[in-house]
This record gives sequence, C-alpha cells and structure tokens, in this order.
Amino acid sequence: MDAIGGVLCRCTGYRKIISAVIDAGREQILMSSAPAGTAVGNRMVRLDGLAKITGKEIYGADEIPSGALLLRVIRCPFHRAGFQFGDLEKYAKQNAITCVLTAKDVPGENRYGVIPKFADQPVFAESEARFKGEAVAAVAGAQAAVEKLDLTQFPVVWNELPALMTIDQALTPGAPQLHHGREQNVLVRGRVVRGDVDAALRNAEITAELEVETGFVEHACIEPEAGFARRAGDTIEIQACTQSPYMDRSDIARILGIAEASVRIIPTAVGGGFGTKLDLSVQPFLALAAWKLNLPVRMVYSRTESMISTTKRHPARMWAKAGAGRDGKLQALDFRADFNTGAYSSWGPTVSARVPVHASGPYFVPHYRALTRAVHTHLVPAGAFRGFGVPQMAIAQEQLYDELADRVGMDRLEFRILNSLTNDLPTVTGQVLGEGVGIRACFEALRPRWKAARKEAVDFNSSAQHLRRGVGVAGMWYGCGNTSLPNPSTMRVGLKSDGRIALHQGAVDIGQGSATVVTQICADALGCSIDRFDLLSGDTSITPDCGKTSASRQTFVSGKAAYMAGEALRREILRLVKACDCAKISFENGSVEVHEDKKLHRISLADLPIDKHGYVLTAEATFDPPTRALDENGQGMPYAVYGFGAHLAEIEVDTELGTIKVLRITAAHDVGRAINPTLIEGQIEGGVAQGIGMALMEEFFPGKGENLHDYLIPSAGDIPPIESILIEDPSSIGPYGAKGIGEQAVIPTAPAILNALHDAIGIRLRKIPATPDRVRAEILRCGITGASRG
Amino acid sequence: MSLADFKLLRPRTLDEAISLLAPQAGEGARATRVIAGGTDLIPSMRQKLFEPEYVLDIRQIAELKGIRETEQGTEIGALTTLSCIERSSVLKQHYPVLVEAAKTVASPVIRNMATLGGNICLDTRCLWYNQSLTWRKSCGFCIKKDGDLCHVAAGGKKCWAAFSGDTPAALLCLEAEIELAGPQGTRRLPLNDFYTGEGDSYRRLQLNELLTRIILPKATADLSGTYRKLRIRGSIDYPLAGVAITLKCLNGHIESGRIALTAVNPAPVLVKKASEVLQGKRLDEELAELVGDLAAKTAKPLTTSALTPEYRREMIRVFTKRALLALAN
Repeated sequence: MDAIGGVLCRCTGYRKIISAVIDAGREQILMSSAPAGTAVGNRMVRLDGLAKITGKEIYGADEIPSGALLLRVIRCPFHRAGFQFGDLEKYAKQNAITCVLTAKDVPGENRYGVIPKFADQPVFAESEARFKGEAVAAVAGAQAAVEKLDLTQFPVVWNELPALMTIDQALTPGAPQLHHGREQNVLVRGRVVRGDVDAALRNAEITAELEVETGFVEHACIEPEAGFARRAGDTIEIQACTQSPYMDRSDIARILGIAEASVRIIPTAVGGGFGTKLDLSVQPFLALAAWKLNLPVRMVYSRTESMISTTKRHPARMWAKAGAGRDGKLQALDFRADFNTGAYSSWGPTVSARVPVHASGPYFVPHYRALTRAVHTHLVPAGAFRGFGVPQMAIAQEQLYDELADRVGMDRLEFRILNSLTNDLPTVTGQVLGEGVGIRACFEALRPRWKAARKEAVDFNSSAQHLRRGVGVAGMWYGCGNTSLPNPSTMRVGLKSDGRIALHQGAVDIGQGSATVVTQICADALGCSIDRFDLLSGDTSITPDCGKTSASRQTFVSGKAAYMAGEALRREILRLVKACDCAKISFENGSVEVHEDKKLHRISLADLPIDKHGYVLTAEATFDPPTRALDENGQGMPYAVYGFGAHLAEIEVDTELGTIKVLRITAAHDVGRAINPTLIEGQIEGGVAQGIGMALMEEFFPGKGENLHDYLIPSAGDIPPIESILIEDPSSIGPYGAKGIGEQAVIPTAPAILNALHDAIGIRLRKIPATPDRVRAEILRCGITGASRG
Repeated sequence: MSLADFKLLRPRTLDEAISLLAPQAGEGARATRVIAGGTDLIPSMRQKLFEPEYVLDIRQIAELKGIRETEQGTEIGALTTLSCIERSSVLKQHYPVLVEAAKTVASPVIRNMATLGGNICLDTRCLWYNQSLTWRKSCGFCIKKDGDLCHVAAGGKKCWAAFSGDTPAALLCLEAEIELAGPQGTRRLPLNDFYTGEGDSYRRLQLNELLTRIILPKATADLSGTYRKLRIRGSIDYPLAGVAITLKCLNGHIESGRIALTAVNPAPVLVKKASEVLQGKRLDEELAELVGDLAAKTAKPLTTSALTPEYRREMIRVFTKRALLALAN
C-alpha cells in the first residue's frame, strides 16, 4: 500500500489496484468471453478495460480538433458582487483574443438547471454574481495567447456585496433574497408523514435525540471537466465528459435558442463523476463560442476552477428524535434537516425530496415525520453527490438508532435485525414492497464478524493504554431511479448481416462498468456470446435516450431495457422461421441457426434486406420503472425497487491524538442479482473509501482550500481491508433480479465508523467529519478517563 | 495553471553553476530559482509564487550527489534523493533518526525525486500563500508575497508561514552543518543558523549561493532517535506537527538529548531547555511529561495549516512524551 501512497484515486478505493498489480505478474485467465447464456453472474472483464490500460480511451481533454481555439472563463472572486465591464473590445485587441463572451452573447435563454422547473443558473452572471467562482465572461482565442493571459487583469470592476454564508443567515427575516419567488431563500421543502409521530413519541417508553451537522464535500473527480465543441452547419457538436448527455442536449438547445435535434452530445470516457457531471460545466461556454465563431473551441478546467465552480455534496444540519418500546420495537421517528443548497438550485429539490423518503432507514417505523428544506446561500451550488443527501441523513439516523438500542439495552445489531423492514411491512411512504427486501439478510450476514470483532475489541481494550478499539454497524436502503418521476431508458439492438450484434446503448459508463453490465444482460437475453457484440455508446445522434447515469439506475433501468431489447431481437429471429419460444439460437459468421426439436433452420443473413437502421433485424425496447406520485404527506410509491445494505466498521482510536484508524470494513449488500461480482466489489470498495473520507477528513470550505493539497481525500494508507458480502434477494422487476449498487455502497460507511467511535470511547460529535482535533477536543470535554492528559 | 516561460540553465559542474548563478541572480519573484527535485518548486511556479526569468537545474552536477564517510563524520550531497537516504545502510546504522524522518516525507514517488537539499531549503507554507494567483488576489495579497496583510495574525507585520520540512528536525538533533558555495568560495554553518525564524525571508542563503553538502558530525553518530509526524492522511501530506528526538543513554541515565520541532514555527527549532533538563536524568513518565510541556511551549502554531493551532501544539506535547518513553524502553 505504501508504494502507491502518493497516488490519488477516487473510484476504486485502492485495494483493487493492488490486487490488479499483483495479479498482473501471475498467469491467469481473464474472462473476456463466456458461452452464450452465461455472461450474467460472471466476473467478465470490462469491455473498455483494454482501451483504458493501453491509454487509448479518450477522456474530455484528450482530443483537440485541428485549429481549435482555447477558452477560459473569468470568475467572480467574491462570494457576492456586482460588476461592470470595461472596454472588452480593446482588451481583446490588445491581447490578440478572438472573442470575449458575456451574458449579452447568449442567443437563447441565459438560464439552465438540471430540473427545468427550477432552472435558475445563468451561463454568465448578468449584473450580480452570487457565488465565488461564478462565471461572468469568457475569452477564446489561439492557445498561446489565451494561456498567457493573467485573468486577474480582465477589465471588470467588482463591487463586493454582503453575502449569506450560512443557513441561519439566509433564513433570517429581511435577509437579501437570492431568487425571486423563493421566500426566505427556501428553494424547496420536503415532507413525508405517516401515523401520529407526536403522540407516539410522547407514549414511547424509550426515546433518544440527536443533532449533527455535516459540511460541503467535494467530488474530487480525478478528471477535471473538459471537452470541445464545433459547429457543423446548423448543428452544434459537443464532445465532453458528462453523466447526462440527453439533459445536456436540452439545456444547450435552450441556451443557444435552437432545436434539440440541432445539438449533438458526444460523451467521452469519464474519469469520475459521482453526480457532479450531471450538471453542465464546460458545455455552455464551448457551445456559445463555437456557435458564434464557427470554429472548434476547447477547454479544460483547472483543479481549482473545478473545485470552485462545480457542485458539492450538500452540507446538512439535522435533528432527529426516535422512540421505541422496552421490547426494542421502533415506534416513531421525527426527523428534520436543512440543506445548504448554495446559490443555484441544481439538485437541491431532489435532495430535499429523497431524504424524507429514506430517513427511516431500512426499518419498519409506524409513526414518522421527516421535514426538509433546501436553503440558498451565496456559496457554490450543492448538487448531486452519490446518494442525493441520503449519506448525510444516515449519519444522523443510524447514530440515533444506536443510542436507542443502548437505552433499550439491546445489542445494536440485534436491534436492527428486530426492526428490519420485511417484504410485508409498509415503508414510511406506505409502500409494501412484497419482495426483494434483503436488509435482514445483510445484517445477519454481518453477525459472525460482529460477534468476533466485538470480542476482539474488548480483549484489546483491556490491556491497551492510549488505544481503544470500537466496532460499529449501520444499515441503509436506497431507491433505484428517480423519485416518483418517469425515468425511462431505451435500448436498440441490431443484427448485422455478418452475424455480429450492434448494441446502441446510451447509458454513459462513468467508470462503474455499466456498459459491460448492460451488454452482459443483453447477451444472455438474446442467447448470444458477449464477444459478438459491438457497442455504440452514448452519442445522442446514434443512441436512443438512456437517461442519466445517476440514482443507481443504469443496471436496473437501462439493464432492464437491454434485457427487453435482447429478448425482442430473439423473438424477431424466431419469428423469421416461425420457431417456437423454446428454440435455441446459435450465431455464426454471416448466418444464424435456430434449433427446434429435431429441426434446424439456417438463416443466411446476406439474403435479408437491410432496414433503416442498417441491420437485417432491429429490436428496440423501453423500460420505465413503475412508480406512483407521492401525495401531500409523501405517501405513494416513490421507487419500484430499493437496494439494501449494511456495513460493519472496526476502528482504533488513539485517545491522546484523537486519530481514528479504520482497521477493517465488512460490507453486505443486497444487489438482487450480482450481474458482475467484480464490478460490484469495485463499487463497494470505492464507496467505502468515499465514506471513510466523509467520516474522517473531507470538508470543503468555499473560498478556502480549493486544491487537493488542502482538501483531503483518502489516500491508499487510509483504506483498510474491505470484505464484500453479496446478498441476492432478487427483484422481479430488475433484469435477472438486479438492483442498483452505485450509491448504496457509500451510505453506511460513515455512520458505521461514527458508531464505532462511540463504541470505542463513548463520544458523538456534533460536527462531521471527525477530524483528530475535533475528536480530541470532545475527548477532553467529556473528560474521558485516561485521556485527559495523555 | 500553465507554467510561465523561463530560461533553463543546466550546468555540469559546481563552478559552472556558481558562475551562472552569480551574475543572473535577479531579484524578488523574478530571482533565479534553483531546481533539484522540483517537487516543491514546480507547483509553486504554477501558482505564480515564483516567476523566475532563469531556472538553474543542478541535477547534472555529480559532485553534489552521494553519501560519503569522512574523518569528521558523514557527508551527504545536497542532491541526494530522499529515497537514497532511506536506503543508505550507513545512515540506517549511524543516523537512524534522519532515515526515519526521510521516510515520512510525502510519498515514495515524490521521494524518488525530492532531495535532502531541497527539503532543507523548502519554502515555508501557509494556507493563505500556497494558492493560485487568482485566489490570493481575491483574498488580498499577504506579507509573504505581493502584499502587506497577514490573514493568520490580523494586523501583524511578521509572516508566520510554517516551515514544513520533515528532515531538518532530525538534522537539528544531529547537530548537522551545511556547506554553502558562492562566488567567494564555500562557507560552513550549523543548520540551526540557516533559518531566521521569519516566515517570509526564512533562510540565510544569498541569491548567488548554493547549498552543496550536509555534514553529520561523528559526535552524533549512533544516537538512538525517532521522528513523529502528525498528518491527517496515511500518506502524502506535509507535517502538521513534527518532533525529532535523539538520545544517548548510559546505564539508564541520559548522557545527552536533543529535541527539535517542525511545522509549528516559521523555522524548524530546537527545544532549548530540553537538553539541559534531560541531561543526567533517568527517563521516566514524569520527566517525559515535563519535557513534553517544554516542547509544547516552544511550539507557536497558528492557522497557517489544517487543524486547530491548540490541537497541533498539544500534539507536540504528546509526541514528545511518547517518543521519549519509546526511546527509553
């Protein structure tokens, strides 16, 4: 681990890198092919693996069209400021710049946002900039001229204005309002209510209460935002890293004032997204410049630019109170959270809506109230970050349940098992899932390690001096797909005349491996070996809409569409020879054979006509998971399927230093069906690493620490051994029973670590992350024995 | 952040280097910078902390590399990489505290490039200084570069940027001397006299001088020693507090002991009274506490770095006490 100590990775959690390095020196067989019908469930090698390790993969900054201009953005240096430009023409002339762009140059609407109803972010601020780092202008020109510019000399006069930096300031009556119509700077409220929580808490034999705050968290994608745009007649083409090509297309069309059909988005390989690449970054600037100049234009964000201007995880201020009976049965939860959503809406409404649905955790809670608000401040917009607010929420809820279990006098894991949601019990939105509720199985899978680890910790603590070990557990559930909103995916699969299969799949693989997973599913549904597939991925001009890569929906939603498309193509082939459903198909070069009982049909593909897509047979399928709108009390069916999981954290606290070392994480996840176990482990280990960062070190202060020296993400030395336990409690809706794992993986880690901290030394922090100075201060405040003065 | 244009000078001998450096030393931000490993200089140049017209690349000067045992002690060429220090059997055997400190610097990849001379000359650091030009301008330029503000000690006139090298603390405990070469020849001085204690003009190195050699005296060979470093992550980071200790014990009594701190002051500093207090005593919990308090009093951490100053000072105390007790056993 020490050898890669200086290498930062945000996706893998490092452990898989080490095993890959060790494996590379051994002779072994990688699964790049599997017999027809056996791809699902196997550890297939990523289809893009070779391109990645040979460096052939094209990321946002990798391609530069010849003659491309370079673009740079001028950003506001204050949290809030009015501004006036000087002589821009003169500046351009003096510095040999091709053009300067400002709000005046936006031909369409100078406003965008991931949720059209709330769109409020300008490409360039018009008269007042609302956060430090907001774009006010851009310059484009020859690379040498633009690179040389000292942008602090750009002709703009700033008038710094008093800024709202905290939720409290923003909510103060009379505070300046950031956006018209959003009274008291409240962007949106979320609410889920069930039963009578006040009465239930009053009557509960045992209650516990907790308050906790979290800070901004930076995505720190290793690849900063980058790309290029060019105009081809009346079409604008944008090649950039993105998680949501189809949303990008709509927004760019609105900004340029042109039809969506005139916008082509070509996603590159993505070096980490985690939610931040759902929002536009370089795209509108590139599109405006290329459209206006009719020249290719490129841009690459610097690390600082990426950190000051792109979305963050919402800081949360949470309060919760829960009640249980002496028997340990959960009776009520009252939960409130305010999220600092920054200057623009981004995904604030989604966070506010998703958290109240999830704040019960994966447990049966009969009386429930969860209220949330997203509040605007003059800070960088908070948006989507792996879990849409649920990881913050779990930090409050899972610590609270630990407190409750302690007061009841129950083992903390058994308390969770006792209260686990089941197939038959209703969720807090009144939904009875009926199947695939694997949470109890996850907790039970942790039981052996839980018992052993607890005993080991007690033994260790009996003789250790300054070191204390602790063990913590936390559970999670997470709905796959959009909350009570349609989110369809469409897949197209075509049979070519040479016998190969073309899969048009628009699901952007942001490194998690969805392209491989989707192909595995389609291959098995069609009954064809995976190495016959040619992938056409995520170019809005050649792939149908697969929605965005977020909300843990690609395996579940796009995977199901791929399954349906594969099945449909199979039916088309059978129909050609009027064979029954049970017939077996084998694919050869240039022909397809259908075996039915003792009959053999041979289809010569060259004899078949070519359809409008260029194939001899084409099938297309759309899947949209069934959901139902939530009523005013948040009752309804927000998601068709939930993923479940639980983590067990073993830590060692140095009570004199206040440092926490994570010794081991055991992660049990109900994934429905593990389509590709290696990729799932990758998601889990990467999620655990981000969870460790969130628990122990990551906190972004807007206006400070805008680089990866000051903002710390875990290094190899911070990641312990991680054991993944895969539970398969299938959902009949997902492809082969599969559910999502992308966001699920990060949620339980931080609360499990914080519960382990309490187990070790009996403290709970009001402010997360648990940096050593905070831990040490709390140790001193609580006068923990043996630690008061080393 | 692109690197601004500069002219690269690549001398092959020390004399050539000095002859190139002397007439083209330049002034202020434009002053010629010497590049050895480059692991600190290049990021700083990208942030426009230095905008030299000339960069003097000394990596081809063979005489500045390597570890030699001499009659007086052990000489280390300023260009010796930290990886070489880590692997040196001579140093491991006779000066373990230096090896231990070198091992904690950044990461293996960086230690393959970074040099001991560079670690000694390392620029002082501050959250308000090691930032991009745009960022510094938006907050207001500070005393250390381009301005007269101090964001750390408001209204103050002194720069408190923290010295954040790991190895100098160990070298101070070893009573290391350094050799500087300039147009008038070479001069030698105790490492302790190299640092000024000011965050901005933190070292006594003329613009036309080069650090050439580090000399570890025979007298401090074979001392037991240790280095403790505070950082949040398991690797990469600069120290937020660092303590180096060397001890010589005879029959359970301390003959001599030295303690040096880093990352909590604008210079690496020796804890002055510690040697006196330790001498002749038997090391026990009580003495360790006392010396820990002395060390904490010597530390003057401010908000130049992550984590609270109070905490970092407290960690100096804990580390000192722990390191002493560990060495006593």
